[in-house]
Amino acid sequence: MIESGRGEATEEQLARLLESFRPDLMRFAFWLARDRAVAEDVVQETMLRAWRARSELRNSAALRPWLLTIVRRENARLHERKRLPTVDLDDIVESQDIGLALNDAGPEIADLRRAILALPDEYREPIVLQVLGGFSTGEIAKELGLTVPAVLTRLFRARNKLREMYGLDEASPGEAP
Amino acid sequence: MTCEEARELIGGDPEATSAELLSHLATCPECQEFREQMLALNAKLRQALELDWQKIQPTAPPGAAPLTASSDGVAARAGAERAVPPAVVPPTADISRTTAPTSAAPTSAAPPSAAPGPAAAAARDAARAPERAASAEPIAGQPAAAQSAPGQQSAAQPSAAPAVGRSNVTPFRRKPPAAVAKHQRPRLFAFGVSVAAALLVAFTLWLSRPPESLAAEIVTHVQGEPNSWQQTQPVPGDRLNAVLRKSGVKLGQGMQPIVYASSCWFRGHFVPHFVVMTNNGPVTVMVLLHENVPAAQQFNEEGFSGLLVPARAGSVAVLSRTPMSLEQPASDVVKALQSAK
Repeated sequence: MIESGRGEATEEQLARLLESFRPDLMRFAFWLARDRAVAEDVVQETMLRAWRARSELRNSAALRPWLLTIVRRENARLHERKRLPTVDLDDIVESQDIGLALNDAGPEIADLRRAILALPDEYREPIVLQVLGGFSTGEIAKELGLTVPAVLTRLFRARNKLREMYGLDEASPGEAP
Repeated sequence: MTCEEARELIGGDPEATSAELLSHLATCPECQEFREQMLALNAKLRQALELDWQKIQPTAPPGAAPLTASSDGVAARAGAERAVPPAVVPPTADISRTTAPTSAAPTSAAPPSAAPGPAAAAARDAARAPERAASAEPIAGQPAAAQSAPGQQSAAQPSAAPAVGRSNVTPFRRKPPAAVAKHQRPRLFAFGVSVAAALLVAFTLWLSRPPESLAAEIVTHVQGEPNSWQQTQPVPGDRLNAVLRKSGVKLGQGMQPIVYASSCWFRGHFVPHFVVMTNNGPVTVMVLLHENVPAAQQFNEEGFSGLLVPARAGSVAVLSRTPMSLEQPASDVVKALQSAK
């Protein structure tokens, strides 16, 4: 059981703590899976696994990255196990459009969201891990089984692709490597 | 550090602050500008990724059962599910990381019941599979905290929250069967159609295969009995009759001497195969009671001259190894051929 400020946290406290991470996990799962229903499945399974392993939890500070890691692996497992049907990328973006539009961040951010959804997995995953998950490049490398330079390259390319899709190319101060 | 290296590092992690990078940026305004752009992009990225999950949740239908605390759901499900090892090793004390959710997720545990997300999910599940929702074990194997009475949960939940029960446990979500079938049906249908089309093509090809010609088969058969041409002595009458009788026929008068007679298996039947010694040399005759030809057909195959003529029953094939007129021997056989019945 994880340690709280006043000693060992109760199961109730842990349950509340886990629940407080749900929005983060949902968001993270959505960007990985690009499907709300799948994201919900993944988060449910993540919560379940976390709860089962609650007696082994030691450090509350590591809870969030641990949960994000479970989300990432559950998402991968789900796709591996269920052989989810492949759909056209445009359909994905279109199907999520309602959700994206519901957010009041404006058309600019909605465009960027569409661009992120359109990124290939190999680029989208590290960028989500870094920007949303707060993982360092070293941690991303460990998560994805890559070297740090390889992660940096993917992140760099991901940003370049986003700039291209997002229309920031003209603002570039020169060719990137 | 070169500009190329600096930009790769900045592109990979715009917030990187290594001494080497900072030193390069101090002397390279272009890379500095690039970094500022990347930082700006990063800020927008963060904003874009920070979806307000609750806003994009589908609205729960009216009357949907509320979810008290998702932790209860988690706990209930945890108890009901079979034990599965955790996907990852839980964090230990040596892992250091700042915690606290990045967004609207207060650690003071805002009442999860207020979050429409899980409630909406539960409502959708209930709508899709009421029997599943109804059969969900509410608190089987649930930890003590989750099983506590509503009053005891007041620290975590609003007092108005209903007690944990079947109606407010989030059932395990599954893909609705219809959605799965929607994706699988076209595949199955396509597979079935493909198999049917392949079978149809194969059957059509089989039907339309060029049939081996009767003449070619006769020649092939005759080639298989080369000694038949060497005979010069007439076949005894009883031997000839036995051969003919096997096929239900007999020969009347008017035949020239028969020097070879055999009952041969040809195209699924025993047919009389004999050699008639004519004035122009030996000719082979096959009485084909089951092969009908509409008219006389001459053929030349593998050095054999042949003639197929219709008979009262089936047809008669006459072959010679040398060019000669076969009409007369064929006519003689057709005239002499009688039914044995």
